[in-house]
Amino acid sequence: MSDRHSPYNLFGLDLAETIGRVKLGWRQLLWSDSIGIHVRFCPPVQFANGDGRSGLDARIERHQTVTEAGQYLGWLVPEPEVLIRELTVPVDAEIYLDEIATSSVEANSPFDFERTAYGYRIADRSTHDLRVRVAMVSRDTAADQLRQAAENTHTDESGIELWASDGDSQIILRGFGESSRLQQYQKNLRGFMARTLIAMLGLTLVLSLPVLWVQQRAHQLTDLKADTQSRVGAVVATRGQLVRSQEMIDAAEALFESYVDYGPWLHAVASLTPDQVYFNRLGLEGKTLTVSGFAKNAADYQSVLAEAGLFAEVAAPSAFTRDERVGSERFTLTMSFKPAPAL
Amino acid sequence: MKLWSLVKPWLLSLPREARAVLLAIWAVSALLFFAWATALGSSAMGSAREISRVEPQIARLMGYELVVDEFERALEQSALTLRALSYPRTEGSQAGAKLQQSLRGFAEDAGLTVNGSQLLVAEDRSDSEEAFFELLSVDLSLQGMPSALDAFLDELRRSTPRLAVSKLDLVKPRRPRQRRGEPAYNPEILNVRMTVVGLREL
Repeated sequence: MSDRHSPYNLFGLDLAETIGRVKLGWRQLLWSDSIGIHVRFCPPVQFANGDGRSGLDARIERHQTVTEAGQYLGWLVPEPEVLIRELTVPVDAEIYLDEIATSSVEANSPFDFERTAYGYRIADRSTHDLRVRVAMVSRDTAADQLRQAAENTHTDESGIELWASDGDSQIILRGFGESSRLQQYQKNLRGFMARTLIAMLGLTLVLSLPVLWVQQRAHQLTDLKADTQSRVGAVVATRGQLVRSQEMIDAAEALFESYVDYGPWLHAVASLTPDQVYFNRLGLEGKTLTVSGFAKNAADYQSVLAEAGLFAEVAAPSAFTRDERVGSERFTLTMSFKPAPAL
Repeated sequence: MKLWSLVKPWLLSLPREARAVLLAIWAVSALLFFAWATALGSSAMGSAREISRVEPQIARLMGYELVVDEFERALEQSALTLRALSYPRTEGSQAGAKLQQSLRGFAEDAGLTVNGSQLLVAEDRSDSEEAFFELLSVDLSLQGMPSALDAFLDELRRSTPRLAVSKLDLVKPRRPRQRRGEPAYNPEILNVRMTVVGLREL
């Protein structure tokens, strides 16, 4: 359901009822006795013609007036002067309760509406319904009662609240001396909110202190690091050079480690080779040795080299062939160096 | 749970609208508190992380400051070691020529005859992406006695900057036809081809 003229129209959706319910909820929080806020923070009213009258009189003697003592004075209109009407309304209609009570007074008051003082209270609340009691009093009677209350309590009429009893409880009649008590209630609420806010700010500060300290420490350390870096810049550069220099040394040594010192190996081969063996060619590349030449018995020579324990994979890539011209076997042998630290 | 069991009946006894407003206030308050606590916590964690990162760095920098003399001594020592391993950067393109000249000198001193030599240059990238050195490689063609070769290899082993032989090929030369007036054929003479490598700083 949308109302184009509603002040709370959002993209065609009427939010007036939702906002009305939020306001009602807020009002219930502040005024409903079941919540406890009203009971805790609203100053009590003392009925001058009620059960607490003797106590009130004693205070009046000490403080001259009731308001000076911090008490709020109420006056109960006698029951014969009050018309009580009970209404049952659906819970959903609570947002219109003021209008319902007013129209009920208009419809049921025996006096002109303008000459009727009234008030209402929710007497009972069930899941679906509210029982509302509306109290109506003639304004002339109300004025008489106020005068009588003022005479009895020696106070100004404007400070006296008028109440009516419905049998179970009391109903405040609107438009009399209740405004100062309600202002005090709002003041008490504001004071409590301010104290709560200050306490929360204090708590926030206390909880934030360790974090602030850690942040401060981090900033200090960052500054100290920048200072130290600028002071030891030359040392850091020296260290960088040293690191690079060490890396270069490691790289160079690794490179030279990969090469074999051929001198001792040549000596080893020479000492292992019998006099009957002649070399034509001797090649060394990496860790591989290739020898070619003539031997009386090439297989024996191969065995000598293999059994020496200095070489691995001693092999003949081609067959030994006998050369009748020199009377020896032609051979080619390949082998690889074993790690031989003793050489 | 005990608190909730106390609060729940009270909450359910409230008028519907009051309950909704109260729950909304609680939810917004809880949300704000959670946002605040999260921001505070993340700020604290960030700062703590920064402290744990910066503190060791400061300690390390201060440590460097204390051992500056040792650093300088170690750097000098490293420079000497490096000089023993490679030609300095300052040699530039002269390093190859210098190496070739040294090798010819060693060979002649050892009693070998130098028939030829050729310089080959390549960057060494074998150990890391960063090239520290230029690999100087010299092919030598020599002739001489085994004892001279032995002396030449000894000389290479002792040389500074350090050198290494990557390839060695010994071949007995063919016996030439003897001509009148020529010196007698020495069967012990060898033809030697070898590749010697050295390094130059980049």
